[in-house]
Amino acid sequence: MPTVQEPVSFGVAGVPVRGILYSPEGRKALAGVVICDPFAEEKKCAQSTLAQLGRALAEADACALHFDYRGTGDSGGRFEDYSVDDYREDLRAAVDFLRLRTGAGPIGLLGLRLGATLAALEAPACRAGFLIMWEPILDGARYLRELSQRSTIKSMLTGAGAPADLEEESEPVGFVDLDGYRLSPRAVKGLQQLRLAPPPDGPTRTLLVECTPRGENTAAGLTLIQSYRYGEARALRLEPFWQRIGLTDTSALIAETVSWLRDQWGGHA
Amino acid sequence: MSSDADLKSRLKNMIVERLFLKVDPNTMPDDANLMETYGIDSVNLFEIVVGLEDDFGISLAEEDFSIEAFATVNSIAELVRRKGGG
Repeated sequence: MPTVQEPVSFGVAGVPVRGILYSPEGRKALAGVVICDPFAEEKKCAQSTLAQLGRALAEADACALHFDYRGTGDSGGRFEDYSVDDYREDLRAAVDFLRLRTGAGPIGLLGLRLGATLAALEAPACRAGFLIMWEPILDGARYLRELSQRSTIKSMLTGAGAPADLEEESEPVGFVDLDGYRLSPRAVKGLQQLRLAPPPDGPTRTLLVECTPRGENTAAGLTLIQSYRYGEARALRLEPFWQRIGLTDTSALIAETVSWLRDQWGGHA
Repeated sequence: MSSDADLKSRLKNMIVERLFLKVDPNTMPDDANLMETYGIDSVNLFEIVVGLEDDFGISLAEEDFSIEAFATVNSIAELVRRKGGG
């Protein structure tokens, strides 16, 4: 099915947030999807998959907005000036933009890793009609520790010096450098405090997709999805494509997700 | 099977599974250099670290990371034992 993709822009606090809008060509969009990026290097690695996802959604008669948080990608601002709270503001603005721009039916959120966590947290405020979480981060403090470990491993293999210590560098005047991504104390604190708690009210239709070595959902994932009234969990045997650029075929993940979405809004079969 | 052999067997299974290696874990030599033999890179090593923490109940600190510690199944088993996992 023919689709259109166009660069779009909207502002948050005077800073341009840019993205790509994927739409069905010559057909009415049955739903809108805001695609929420993962963080730092994971965003870079997932770029291709999320672009494919945008096109697949448009082919299935949805509008999809894939945007860059402030300080990332094509959006304005410096990476180190923004934190999780700012990304959440960007996400809400993206939903408003998509709602006004397309007039599509239900607007939903789809996120990967940190993007999934932020989407889940913002779904009630955004009045999201559906929520899709790909490999959400459940515990921000653990995630931050993993980022630090990854940085340590890279330094170890390249013979570079040890990365700056997380605790020392998270002092009020200090910054943490993780593989070239400078995190301000506010960004570190925001990540450390991030928790994907069960929603206070959960009418939103929700899909959790995990990519695991055995193709089975994790216990933590199942516990999470059980807290959603209309939650559904699926798992695929898939390598962590958000950690490596371009080597993993994610077409099954995209097909599974689009199929679930079609079931929700009765889109093109 | 001794506990040492059991630990190494579990490590091999974990490595093969998490890294999607197309090898029989039982054929992995204990002393083969993982990076040279299986082309393990930083992304793979991170997956091994997650596997050690999730499946073997250890917590790795900055000082635990060295090329030697992650070079072979033998050295990883030694790391797990030193950290009190199993």
